[in-house]
Amino acid sequence: MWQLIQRSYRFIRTLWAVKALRQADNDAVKQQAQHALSELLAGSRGLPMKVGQVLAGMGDESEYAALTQSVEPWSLKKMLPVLEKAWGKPVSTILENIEESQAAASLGQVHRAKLNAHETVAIKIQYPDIAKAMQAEMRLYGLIPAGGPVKTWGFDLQAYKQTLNQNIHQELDYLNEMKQQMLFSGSVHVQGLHVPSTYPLLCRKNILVQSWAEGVRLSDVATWGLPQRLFVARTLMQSLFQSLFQAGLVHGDPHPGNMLFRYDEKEPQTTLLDFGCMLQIDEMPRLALLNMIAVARGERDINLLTLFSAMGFDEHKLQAIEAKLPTLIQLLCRPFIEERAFDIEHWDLSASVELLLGDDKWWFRSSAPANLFLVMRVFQGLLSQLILLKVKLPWFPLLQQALKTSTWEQAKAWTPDDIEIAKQPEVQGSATHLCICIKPHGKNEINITLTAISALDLENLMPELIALEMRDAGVHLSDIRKKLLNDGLEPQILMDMEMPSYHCHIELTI
Amino acid sequence: MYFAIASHIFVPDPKQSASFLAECLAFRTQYKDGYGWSAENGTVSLLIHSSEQPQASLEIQCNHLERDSQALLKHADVHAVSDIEKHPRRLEQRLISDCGISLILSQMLTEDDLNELPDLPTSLPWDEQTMQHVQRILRIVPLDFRAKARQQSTERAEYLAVEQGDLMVSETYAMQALVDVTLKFQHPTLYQAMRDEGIASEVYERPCGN
Ligand SMILES: Nc1ncnc2c1ncn2[C@@H]1O[C@H](COP(=O)(O)OP(=O)(O)O)[C@@H](O)[C@H]1O
Repeated sequence: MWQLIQRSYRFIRTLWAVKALRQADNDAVKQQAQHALSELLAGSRGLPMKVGQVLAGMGDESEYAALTQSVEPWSLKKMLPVLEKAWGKPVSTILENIEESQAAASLGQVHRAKLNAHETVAIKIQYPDIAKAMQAEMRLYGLIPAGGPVKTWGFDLQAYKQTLNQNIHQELDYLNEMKQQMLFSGSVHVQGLHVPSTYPLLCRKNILVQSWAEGVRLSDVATWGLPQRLFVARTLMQSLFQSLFQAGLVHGDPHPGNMLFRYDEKEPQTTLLDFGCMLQIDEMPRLALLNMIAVARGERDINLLTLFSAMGFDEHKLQAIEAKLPTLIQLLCRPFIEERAFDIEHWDLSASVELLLGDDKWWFRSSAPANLFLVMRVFQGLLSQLILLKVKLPWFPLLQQALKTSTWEQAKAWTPDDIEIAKQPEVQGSATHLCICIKPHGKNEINITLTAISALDLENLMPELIALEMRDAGVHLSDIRKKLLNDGLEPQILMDMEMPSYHCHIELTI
Repeated sequence: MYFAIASHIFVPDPKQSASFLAECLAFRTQYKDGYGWSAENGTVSLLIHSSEQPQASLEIQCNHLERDSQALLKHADVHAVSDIEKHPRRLEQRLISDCGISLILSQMLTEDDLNELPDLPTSLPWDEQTMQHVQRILRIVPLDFRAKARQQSTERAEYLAVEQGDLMVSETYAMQALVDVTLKFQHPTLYQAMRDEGIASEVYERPCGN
């Protein structure tokens, strides 16, 4: 349930951004929307995101690249009143000076300033009215919770709306970001890692004040000497390992724009910025993940279905590919298995997973909890950073050092609860594949082939917006599931219909 | 894609050449009507044509050029055209047979022949002197196994360094790694090689049976 909400939330966010982009009549707002959109789409994976990109009219990479270019910040003159209103006193009583912004953020922008107490700080100021604009958009989509629980197509729409709102509110709330930043800096301690300290007394819902961090970008670090690059790489790796496996609080958006580096021959410093999008990983999936590495290294023997289930996977679905799980974890954990400096550039994970799973990969994906994919994205980010730094390091010793002895002991003592896994209803049938073809009007179609059994999970596979249109058209995906459970998975057209924005064709084939 | 490939050679008397190839170089030969003489040895197929101007040279890649050359020259119809010549990375000698086939004997020079110390395949910075010690110590490993040993000891040393919280490989890690990746029966040789480099091998020596 929670997973579905998370995924839907991201999808709707994308759609919101797409819509804002289209309707923007004013250049400044349009730029903000473009920026937000490109950030949302950056690194996104999977069916819903693919649909999102098509909807945004971004058929090819170049159009997408154009959007990711940075946005011009607003002038100080426009932003100062926001600051004064938030602080409730003239800016000069607090600041000695404040500079024009050089950095537009997604919902606001960052100014360098000097406090009267002389510290140099970074002040992130939220764009006026952006919160209101988002509220308006959401109301338009009917996403503000109304009274009374509404249960439709298999999940609780009310809870969904509520969570959606909470998430958006959280992201708009810089006080929340401040809290996360303090929490992170208190719980992740890695050599070379620096988190700017915040100034709680000056922070407001729309204002974030923190110490100014000097530094260059990762692309500059790539030109440093090997010892310094290795040091930075180790800091980045251990920061992720410690925050994921020990603190359970992961920086969800570790793209190079959120990092600054300061040269030092012995100990170059890495500063992490932007704690507005943190992933919280509970103890159970966290220890299960750590144990997955132990199992892959042959150090423990745990039933893989229960292990994956503890990570939040849908164990019923995984039963279908249970035999492949041992190989799969070997592939996924390879950097932690190899006892040497690991060569990422020659590690083609997706190709080997594709070879192992084939069409089952969608099935595997649909069984995974959403936040695990966000974690995968974070790892993906780490990999590209290491490639940029042109370094190879052995992973396991770095993981060992990044975690406290007590964390390792906790992991060793951990066993998944004995989960009784009920057998999935046996469904017979001669169909082998499920073909989904979605064609947004006036756009290229999206084709996806899955294993036939995925037809039982159409409710979860469909992007929510399409599912909503189907529901409006009187089609209930749960009915398809019921019918297939009764009649078996025989080759047939499950759906071929014209909806307001799409043509949708779903078929079971041999 | 796989093709069977044959090459053509031209000699004054195909039959004579075929028997030379069979006797001297252990080719299997056969004659087919309409096709003529051919010879093959499992890796090379030759189609032998008749021509007054011979065009037939075979390069023989040797492991021991001198020995092979002497063996070939024992045949009455093989003569040396040149002495063994030393090129930058290989040895070469030209022979000719009475049947018109010329033979180029060649031998690639090894790192030992060239007195070279190949780089270690490193990922971390290494202490310069340690690197040279390791390069020289690795010479105790027979050539055929040396590239593998070089890679394994480098990887092991770097792993040990990182495991101890270092990002640079010093003597301790490198020597430890050599001991780790060397087969036990060669340990005495290894310790001797360390001492030859002026390294106190007793620090790294492992008790027997451990
Ligand atoms: N503490 C800081 N010191 C220096 N520059 C900063 C600091 N915080 C943010 N910035 C600059 O502002 C940019 C955007 O800030 P960020 O927190 O990532 O905003 P958002 O998450 O809203 O996009 C960063 O890429 C960086 O250039």
